[in-house]
Amino acid sequence: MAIRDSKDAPGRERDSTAITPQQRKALDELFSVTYEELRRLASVVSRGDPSATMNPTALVNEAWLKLSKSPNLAATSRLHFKRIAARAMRQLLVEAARRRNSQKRGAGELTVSFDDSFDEKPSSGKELLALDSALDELAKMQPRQALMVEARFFGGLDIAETAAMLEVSEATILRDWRAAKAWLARELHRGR
Amino acid sequence: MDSNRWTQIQSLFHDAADLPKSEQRAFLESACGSDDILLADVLALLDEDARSSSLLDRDVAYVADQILNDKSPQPAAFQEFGHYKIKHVLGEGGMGVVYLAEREDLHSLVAIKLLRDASLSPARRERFAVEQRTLAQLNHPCIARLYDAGILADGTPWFVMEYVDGLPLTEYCRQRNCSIDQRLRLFHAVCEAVLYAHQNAVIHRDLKPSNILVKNDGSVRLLDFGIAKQIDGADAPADQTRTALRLMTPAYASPEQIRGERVGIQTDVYSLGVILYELLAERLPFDLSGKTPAEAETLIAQTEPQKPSAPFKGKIDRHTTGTAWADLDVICLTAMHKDPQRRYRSVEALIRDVDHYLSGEPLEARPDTFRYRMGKFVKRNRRAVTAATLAFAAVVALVIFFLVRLTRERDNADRQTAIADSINRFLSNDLLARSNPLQSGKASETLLDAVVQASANIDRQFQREPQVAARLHQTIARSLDSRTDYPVARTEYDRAAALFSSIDGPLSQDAIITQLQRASMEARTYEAGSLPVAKKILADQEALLAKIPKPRADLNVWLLSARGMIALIGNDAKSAVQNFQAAQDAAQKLPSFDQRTRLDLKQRLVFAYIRFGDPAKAEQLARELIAEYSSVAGADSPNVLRVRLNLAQALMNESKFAEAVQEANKIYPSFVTMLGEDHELTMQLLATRAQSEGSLGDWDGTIRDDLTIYRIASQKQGPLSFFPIATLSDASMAQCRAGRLDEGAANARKATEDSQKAFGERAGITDGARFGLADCLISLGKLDEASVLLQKVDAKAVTQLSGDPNWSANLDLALGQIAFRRGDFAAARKYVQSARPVFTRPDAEPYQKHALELLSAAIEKHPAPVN
Repeated sequence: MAIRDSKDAPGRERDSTAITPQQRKALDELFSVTYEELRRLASVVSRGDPSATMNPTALVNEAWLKLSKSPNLAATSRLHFKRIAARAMRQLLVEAARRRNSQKRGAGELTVSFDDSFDEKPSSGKELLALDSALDELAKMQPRQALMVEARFFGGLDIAETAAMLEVSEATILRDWRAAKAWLARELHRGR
Repeated sequence: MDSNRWTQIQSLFHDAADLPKSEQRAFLESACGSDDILLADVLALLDEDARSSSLLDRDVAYVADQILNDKSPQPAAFQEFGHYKIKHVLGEGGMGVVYLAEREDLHSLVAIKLLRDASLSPARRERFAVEQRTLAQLNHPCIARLYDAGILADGTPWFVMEYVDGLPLTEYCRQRNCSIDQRLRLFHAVCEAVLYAHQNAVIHRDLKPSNILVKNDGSVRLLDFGIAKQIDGADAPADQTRTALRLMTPAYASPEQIRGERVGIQTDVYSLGVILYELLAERLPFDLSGKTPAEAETLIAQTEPQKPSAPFKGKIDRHTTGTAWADLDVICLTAMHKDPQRRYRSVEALIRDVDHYLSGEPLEARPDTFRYRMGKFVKRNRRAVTAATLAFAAVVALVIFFLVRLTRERDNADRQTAIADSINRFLSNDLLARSNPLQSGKASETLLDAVVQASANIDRQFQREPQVAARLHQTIARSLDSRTDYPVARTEYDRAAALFSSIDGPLSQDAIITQLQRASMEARTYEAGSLPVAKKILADQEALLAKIPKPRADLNVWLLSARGMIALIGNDAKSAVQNFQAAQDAAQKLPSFDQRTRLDLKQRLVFAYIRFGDPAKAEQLARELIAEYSSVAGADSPNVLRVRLNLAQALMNESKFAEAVQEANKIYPSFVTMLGEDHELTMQLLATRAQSEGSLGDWDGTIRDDLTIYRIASQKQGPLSFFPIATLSDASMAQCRAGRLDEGAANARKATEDSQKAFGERAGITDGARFGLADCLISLGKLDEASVLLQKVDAKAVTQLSGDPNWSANLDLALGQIAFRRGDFAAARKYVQSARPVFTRPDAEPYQKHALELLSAAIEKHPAPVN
C-alpha cells in the first residue's frame, strides 16, 4: 500500500481507513479518464483560438458534461467528480509547467522569450510548481485545507460547493481559505 | 512545522485579524509570550493577508493560459531520442507528426511518430508499456514493424516504426491502372496481414488506404496497428468520446465506432469493406464532401451505400462480367453491413470469399442480406431500456396470440406442447439470445431486469393457464442458466417446479425434470458447497422417481444427464462418460427431444471423454458434433465455440500439436468477438494453444500467447493472483528455453517476487516460480544464486501443485547441471541417474529429454575414477 498512499493518490477520502481495492481501482480509472479528457479539451481549446483564454473551470464543467454520460461515472456525484477533476487539472498543469521548464533549460536553438525573465515576478510556470510543492507541505499539516485549496483553485468550486464537499460550514471554508492563502503566499515569496 | 503548530498559528492569526490593525501587535506579543518564532510567523501571515497578492487571488485561468498555450514541443522531443537522428518531417496528420529518422549506430531508416493529442495519465502509462510489447511482437512480412515505443515526460506517446517507402494503396492502383484481379490480390494480402494481427489479439481500428502502403515491388505494408487505441483512451466502450473520433477521417470508420460503442474485429472487417469498395469503384461509398461531422456520422450510421458496381452498369469492364460484379457487390456490402453481426464473422471468412471469387466459385455470403431493413436495425439499437420494455410487451402479446389461436386445437396435449414450443422458441431465439453479453453490457443487464420483472407478472397474467406460466419460468430459467446468471435462474427453476407440482401433484414429472435441470446447474456453478446441494436434489428426485411406475422417456434423459454432470464436476470422469453416453443414446431414440439440447448433451460427453483420458474418442465426437451443429446454430454461437475448443483440447491431448494449433488459430478471432478477450473459455483456448506450441518447440508462439494470457488475467484478476503469476512463470520458462535469457530471468524474478507478495515464502507456487528462475540463472551461469534458490524449493509442495508425480526429476536435472558446471562430476552423475528414468520415457517432455541427453553425454567425457 506504500505507493498508493503517496501524495499523488487521487481523490483520497478524508477518513481513508479502509478503501477496498475495487474502490481504489474505480478511483484510478476515474482519475485517468478525467485527466485525459481535460488534456484533450485543453489542447482543443488552445489549438482553436490562440488568443482564447483557457478557463479551467469551464474545462472541468465541459468534461463533466461529456463524462457524466458514461456508465462508469454513474455512481459519481458532480461534486466528487469535480474534486477528482481538480486533482487531475493540478497534475496536468504541473506537468505542463515542468515540460516548459525543461525546454527553457535544455533547448539550444530555441530562443526563450518569456517576458518574465526581466520582471520581478517569476513566470507563472515556476510559480505553479512552487505552489504545487507548497500544497504538498500544507497537506502534511492539515490535509483538509490542502484539499480545499486544490478544489477551489484548480477545480473552480465555489464556497458553497467546497463546504458541501468537505462537509464543513462555509464559515470554516472562508477562514481556512484566508489562512491558506496567506501561508502559501509566504512560502512562494520565501522560495524566490 | 507540524500540524499542531500550524493550528496554533492559524488560531492566533484569525483572532488577530479580527482586531483593528493598531492593536494586533500588542495582542500577539502577549499571546505568544517568549515564543519569538511564533510571533514572527503569525505576523508574516498577517502581512501577506494585508497585501493579498497571492497567486491564489488570481484566476487559475491566467496561470493555465500561460502554461498550456504552448506550441512547440518539437525541439525538446528531438533531444529525447538518443539513438536516432531526425532528418525531416515526413508528414503531419490529424493524430500527430511523423519524422523520418536515421538510427545512428545501424544507419537504417525509421519513422518516428508522436501523438500530440494523446497525453497519457500516469495510470495509463503502465498499461501502455504492456500493450506496446504485444504490438512489437507482431511479426509479419506485410506489417510494418514496431521497433520501439515510449512516453515523453509530459505523457506524449511516441513510436519508432519501420520506414516504408511506398504509395497508399488506392494511389498505387490508380497510377499503375491495376485490373480488378490485381486489386483483389493486393487486397488479399492486406487481409492476411489483418488476420494475422487478429490471431494475436490486436485490432487495428483505423484501417484506411493511407495506412496501407505498397512498395515498388508490389509488396504491401500495413502501418499504425493499435495506435488508434492510444487516441481513443481507456478501454471501456463508453469512454470513447466522440471528440477523439473527430480527429480521424470518418469515411472508413464503422457505425459502431461512430456511435462510440465497443470496437471488435468486425470493426476492421468494416474498414476493409470500405477499402475494397474504393478499390473496385474508385470512389468512396458515401459522399462526405461538404458535410459537417455530425451529418457525416448520420450518413454512415444510417444510409445504405450504393452498390460498387452501380456506375458500371451498362458499361461492363471488359474483364469482368455482370455476374462477377454481382459477386463483388456481395463481398463489399457484406463486409460493410451496418450490423456487425451480419458482416463477415472474421477476416478469414472475408478472405475465403475473395478466394472463391478469384477461383470462380460461388460465395459463402448471401445477397439476401441486403433486403435486411435498416429501419429495424436502427430501432434495435435504441436505448436498451426501450428495447427491454418492448420485449416484455411482445412476450405477453405473443402468448395471448397463441392462446387465442390454439384454443382451436382439438387435441389437448398437442396444444400444450405447441404453446410451450413457440414460447420457448421466442424466448431463447429472439428475446434472450439477442442480447450478446459482450456487445452492450448495459443492454443485457436491463434485459435481465426486464425479464425478472416480467417473471413477477407472469403468474398473474396466466392465472388461468398455470401450465403456460410454469413453462415460461422453466424456459427463462434455462436461458439464464446458459448465460450463467445463476441466482436468478435458481429462483425461476424453483417457481417452475412449484407450479408444476401444484398442477400435477407431488409426483409431477415436469417438476422432477425441472429439478434435475436445476441440479445440473448447481454442479456447474463451481461455487463452494454447490456440489453437495446438487447431489441432494438429485437424490430427492430419484426417490420420487422410484414411486412412478412408468416415467416418460425424456425424464430418463434428464436423469442421466444430471448424474453425468454431477459426476463430471466431482471428478469421476468414468461415471460421467457412462452417464452422458447413456443419456445421448436415450435422447437419440426420441425424435421429439429438442435437437439443441441433445447436441448440448453431446458436447458434455465430448468434454467428459477429454477428462476421462480418451482424447481420440473426444476428437471423433467433436467433429461429428460440429457438423451437426451447423444445421441448427450459427458457426459462432457460444455452444459451437465450446465444442471447437474441446476439439483443440482433444487434439492436444492426442499429441497432435500442430493440428491443435491450427484449430486454435481458426477459432480464436471468433472467441474474442463472441465471448470477449477475457472470457474464461477464450483464455482456455489461448492456454491450449500455448501448451501445444510449447510442445512443438514454437517458443515464439508460446511466449506470445502466455504473455497475452498474463496481460488479460492481470487486468481481470489483478497481477497478484494465482493464474497470472503461474502464467508469467510459464512464459519466463519458455523464454529461457528459447534462449531469451535476460527477458526470461526478468520475468521469472517478477513472478517469484509477486508470488512471494501474494502467497508468501513457502507457497507451492512461489517454489515453482523460484525453480523457473533458478533454471534461467543456470543458463546464465549464475550458479551460486541458482543454487541458493533451489535449496529453498520444497519439491513435495510443487509436486502436489503441478499434479505431476515425477516433478522432482526436474529438480534433480537442475542440480545436476549446477554440479556439472562446478566440476563435481560424481555428484552430477548421481543426479542424472536419478532423473533418467523419468526423462527417458516415451511421453517425456522433449526439451527435458534432450537436456538430459546433452548433460549425460557431457558427463561421460569425464569418466568416473576406477576404484
